[in-house]
Amino acid sequence: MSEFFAMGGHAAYIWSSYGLAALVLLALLLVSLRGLRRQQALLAALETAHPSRRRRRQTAEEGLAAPGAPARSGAHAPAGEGGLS
Amino acid sequence: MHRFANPARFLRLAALILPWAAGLAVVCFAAGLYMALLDSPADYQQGQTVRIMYIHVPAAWMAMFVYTSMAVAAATALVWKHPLAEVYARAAAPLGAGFTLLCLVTGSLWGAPMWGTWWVWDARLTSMLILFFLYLGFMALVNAFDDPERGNRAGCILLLVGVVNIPIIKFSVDWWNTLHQPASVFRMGGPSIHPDMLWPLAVMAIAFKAYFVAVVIVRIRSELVARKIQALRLTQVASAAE
Repeated sequence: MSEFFAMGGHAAYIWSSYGLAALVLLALLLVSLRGLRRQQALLAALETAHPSRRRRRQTAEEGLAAPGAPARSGAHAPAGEGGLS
Repeated sequence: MHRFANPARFLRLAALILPWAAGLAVVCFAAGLYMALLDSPADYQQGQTVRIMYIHVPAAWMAMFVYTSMAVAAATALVWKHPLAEVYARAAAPLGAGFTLLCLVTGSLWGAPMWGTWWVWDARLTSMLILFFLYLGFMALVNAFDDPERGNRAGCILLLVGVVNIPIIKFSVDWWNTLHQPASVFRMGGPSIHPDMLWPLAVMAIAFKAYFVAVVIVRIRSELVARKIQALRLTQVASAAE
């Protein structure tokens, strides 16, 4: 066992290579995962703080258009829900 | 709206690929480390230090592969304005820089006992160091502009100019005298290294590649969310101004 860790006298070079590889790869993984989580939290906070402007305007238009012109609000509806979500 | 169609399709595909890539990386790292550290023989000239190869060579391959893929993405971004191409280049750059750093440092740790020196200014080592600076330069450049569009454009041009370095790295060991040994896997006439060492190397290379695919997907998702936040803030500013 100790012979395995000694690596023929080159332990310092070999184990620091493997250690550094583990360190770099794990650090990049953790930083990437944390970054994604932080951005998702920020987006969720923004969306709850300011509900979509598009949706607000749409409901306002529907409110206005309701008595007179149903065709107009119908024309707007498909364009409203876009690919953003 | 068609601008967002592609990222949406990509996100669906990425959600399918991510668990497989992550699983493959874990399995291949476990198998590759066992084969590299326990199951493979010591070299008849280099002794146990040959085990550094199983980190050093996959890291070097990934460093060059990631840069080449970023350069292809840059060309796609400049010519066809594909919205995902720049996002990919930004997401992949820190990973490529990490692989290059690993390659340089493990090469040094291998050179110290075998060559008797940590570093020489020869063609292979120097061109690899330039690759590292290209990654860092790209990362600094894309974030150096207030307008992200301009930053991305400048970054893409840097990537395309820097791609000339990739063949220089690959053929440096043939074109110039160097301490670095010549290619022993991807060479005319097939690999010259023994299967007992080729297999662990191949498994570690797959592990590195799968790791890259998994992490770059996470980073692309993060970039896309960041873009959505930016778009949301712009519309909020616009609606506040009305």
